[in-house]
Amino acid sequence: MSQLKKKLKEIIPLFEPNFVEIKELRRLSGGSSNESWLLVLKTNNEDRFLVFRRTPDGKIKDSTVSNFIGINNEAKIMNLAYKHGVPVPKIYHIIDESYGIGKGFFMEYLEGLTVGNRIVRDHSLKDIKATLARQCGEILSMIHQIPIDNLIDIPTSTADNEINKYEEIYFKHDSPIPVFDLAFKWLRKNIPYQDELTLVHGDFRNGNLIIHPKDGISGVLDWEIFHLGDPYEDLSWICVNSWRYNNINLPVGGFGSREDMYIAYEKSSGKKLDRERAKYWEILGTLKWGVMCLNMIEIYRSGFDKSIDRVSIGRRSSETEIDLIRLLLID
Amino acid sequence: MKSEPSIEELLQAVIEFIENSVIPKLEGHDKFHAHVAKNTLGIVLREIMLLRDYDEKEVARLKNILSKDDNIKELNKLLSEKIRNGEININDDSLKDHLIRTTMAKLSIDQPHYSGYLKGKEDNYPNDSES
Repeated sequence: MSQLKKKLKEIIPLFEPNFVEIKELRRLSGGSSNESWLLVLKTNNEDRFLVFRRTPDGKIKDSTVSNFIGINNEAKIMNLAYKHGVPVPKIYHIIDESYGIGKGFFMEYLEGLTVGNRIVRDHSLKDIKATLARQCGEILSMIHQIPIDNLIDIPTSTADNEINKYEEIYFKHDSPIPVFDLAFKWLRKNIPYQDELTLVHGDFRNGNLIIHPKDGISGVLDWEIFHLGDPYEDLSWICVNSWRYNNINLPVGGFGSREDMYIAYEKSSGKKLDRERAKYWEILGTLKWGVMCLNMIEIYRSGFDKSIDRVSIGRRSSETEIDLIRLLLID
Repeated sequence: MKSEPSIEELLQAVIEFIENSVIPKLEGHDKFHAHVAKNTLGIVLREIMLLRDYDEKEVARLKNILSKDDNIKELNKLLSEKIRNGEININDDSLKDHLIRTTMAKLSIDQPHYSGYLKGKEDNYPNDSES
């Protein structure tokens, strides 16, 4: 029996008194920094499905781009979001490193699709698709209304912080891309006045949402870069063309219209949205993804990950160039 | 030196081998990586066929905009600097034309099926590619 399985059998009875044995333990795809494992448990009642999410050796190696907040903080913020009615998997148990399998947490397994490309194309989602953009607006408004007064040690990142962070990575890469320089220049010149900070998910996009064929968005995943910032960051990140999976005419994740999302957000939050500000953040989000693609080349060269998908994703930075051109020079 | 078969033919043969004989036999993560490998060789093939012509045109435009002669890397570095320090207006028409053509050329190598590129073709962006 693997060490992981052995340790899990010690831990699970702490929160599942009816535990009998582990029927299945399988690594779920995705997540280059944190691992997610599907667990099927035999219990004295019916079988129970869980997800175990962990940072294998307790620390993130691949932290060059984002300010990861640590997996235990991720569990805490998910708990808080859950209490405020945001659809997220329920957290059952958090573990520290003392078991020797890294730190992490156990959460509810939610049924549905997460692969962005399939969500855009899968026929079984045909009926629910029209409601997804509206749901995105409602969920984001809930996330952005979570009180932040009692949150401590949460990083703050507004537009100028984001620009600085990604410009540094771009300079480090040391291979000039004039379209990126133009975008940085424009973004600096047009930084919006920051009047209010809210909780920001930070990676709210098609691919991090669990879509159920009947209920729509049943869970929001990957809270590992949440921070305090500009709520428009979330509203626009999901519209970055790379997350539309070639369905360019449906800006919200390749499945919905911006106005559907905005109107639902406005209704739920009572706040009028500034469409120009949303566009600013879409441009910043597009540039961020372009720089992230360049950073994949650095991660490959560093030896941290020598896989073919890591290195070849570097060539996707040009997709953001054409999107930036459309947003800045054509539209 | 001219060796036969050509590098394009060799690459094409490897791409077809991965597509027809490798991918159908694989599952899960390996299948995904084999797809990525096939697509990556597609980038290599297109770059071999297209890059020289693109680079010549790009250098000619850069020389014109910058009034300077140098290699493509240095010219791009200079253009980046001039954009950053405001020596070139980012609304300048010849700059705009240059950036669009250069980016469309890149996409025709990196991702000819990308929606942003297809939209550029549909909307008749200035474009040096033949297809």
